[in-house]
Amino acid sequence: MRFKYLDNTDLIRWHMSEKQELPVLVSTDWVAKNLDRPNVRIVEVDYDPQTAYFQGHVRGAVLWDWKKDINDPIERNIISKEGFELLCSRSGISNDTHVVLYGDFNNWFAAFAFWVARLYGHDKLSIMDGGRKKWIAEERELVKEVPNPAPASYKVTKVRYEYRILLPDVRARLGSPTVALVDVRSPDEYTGKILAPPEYPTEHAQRGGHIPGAVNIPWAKALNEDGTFKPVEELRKLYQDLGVTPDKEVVTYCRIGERSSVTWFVLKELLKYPKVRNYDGSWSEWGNVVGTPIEK
Amino acid sequence: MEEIRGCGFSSESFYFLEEMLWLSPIRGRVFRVGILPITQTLWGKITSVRVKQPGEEVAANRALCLIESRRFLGNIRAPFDLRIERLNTEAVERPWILQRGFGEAAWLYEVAALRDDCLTKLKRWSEVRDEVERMISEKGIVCFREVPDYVHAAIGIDCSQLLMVLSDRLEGLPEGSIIHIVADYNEGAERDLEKWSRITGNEVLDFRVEKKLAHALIRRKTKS
Repeated sequence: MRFKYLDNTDLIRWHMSEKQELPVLVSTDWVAKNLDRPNVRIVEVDYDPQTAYFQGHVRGAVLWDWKKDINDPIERNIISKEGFELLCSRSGISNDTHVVLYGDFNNWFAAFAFWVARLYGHDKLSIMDGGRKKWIAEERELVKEVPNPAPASYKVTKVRYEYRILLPDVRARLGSPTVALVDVRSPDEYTGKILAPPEYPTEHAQRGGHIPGAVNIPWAKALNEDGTFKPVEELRKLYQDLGVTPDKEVVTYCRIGERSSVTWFVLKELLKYPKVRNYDGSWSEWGNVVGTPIEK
Repeated sequence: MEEIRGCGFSSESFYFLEEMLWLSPIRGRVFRVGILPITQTLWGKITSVRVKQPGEEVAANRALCLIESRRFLGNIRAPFDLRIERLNTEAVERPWILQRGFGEAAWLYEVAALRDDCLTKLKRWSEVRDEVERMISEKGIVCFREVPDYVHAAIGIDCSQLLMVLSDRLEGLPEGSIIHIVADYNEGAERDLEKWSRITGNEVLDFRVEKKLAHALIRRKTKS
């Protein structure tokens, strides 16, 4: 079965959380037709806005710069609750706004922002399937005008701490048969052959390898060549065949927590696994901390 | 052929700078089309190119191809209404060859203009030369015969430490990959680099000094 988005009722059921009217995945076509829909805010989430957003973006889309906007400005951490409230407010997003995220690098950072927004309790959320790349490949309209939305008032009313996991809690779960650890990095990073992809020389860890017991399912295996997600049945098989089953508590990780957000999205939002946690400290924390056990 | 900081430009060709294209007339209204080598610096190495097939017609301003590189993802648009006559499949398989210095640059397509007014959108070398030179200077563009896989800026690093930094950086790269190092120029740098190359087995492909900065192109040794 292929994703058919809004015209496929089965799929809408799959993809819709109880509290939102739109599925968690919307197509580029849907976005193109609904740009002016009231109460929808489109957000481009980029790793490198200079080569992406500022070269042209979806009309009306506001920019979230992954480094500056989704992360704490000083310590290594995701944005605080108050920071998220300010970010949404200045982006014209209220608690009732439906937010559609897309971005560069195969939606990695859009998925990270999705995870952060879910963590801070925002229910009305979607990702544009295929991201910036598919939008461009389809020769859709790109504009350079930066919108200036009227500020809204956003209040975080609940925090879902259970979507995140920190190092001590990962450590405490090592060897547990009810926990599945998913390393979504490349096989060379998983085996410790390389410490980081060569294009990211500053993200080296002191040690290579993986968290003991983790299985390697690279993030890209969940995607088609055009960057869209594979059909649900195929995704379910991909993870279940390697022991990542919904009865377990699943922990996803990569190097800095962004690629693992993509896998978190697949497992939690598309496959509806009940317990999925993103370990955003990931290898750049685990591979640098003294005394953490490593498997090669 | 004119060369500016290693980037070659043919005075016989036409240029469509908005889309980084050169067009070289072959016969009548048929042109060979390729990508300007200055994209080496502007985009980084092209990793994929999605192309149209021979026989397809492309209207002006519609996508001729979709280019993906380390720092660029975008459509390259047709300057005029055209039909694709031939496709260079080698450039599809190894798209970075499109960015080599002009002299030996690969073309991507041969295209036939569908209308007589095709030249109105294009400019001759003499008309774009100043603009190209300004761009090269402002953006610090340098072109090499081989397109680097990675760029490493080591500006402000003391020359005694530089070779150590370089060795460390190369350690993390796949064998045979090419890195472009930019560092402050010191007298004797080229000699030191050559010596280091002999000791380590990493090959210096090019060395150039532009505006007090040294640019070196180095290929990581492969185990034989």
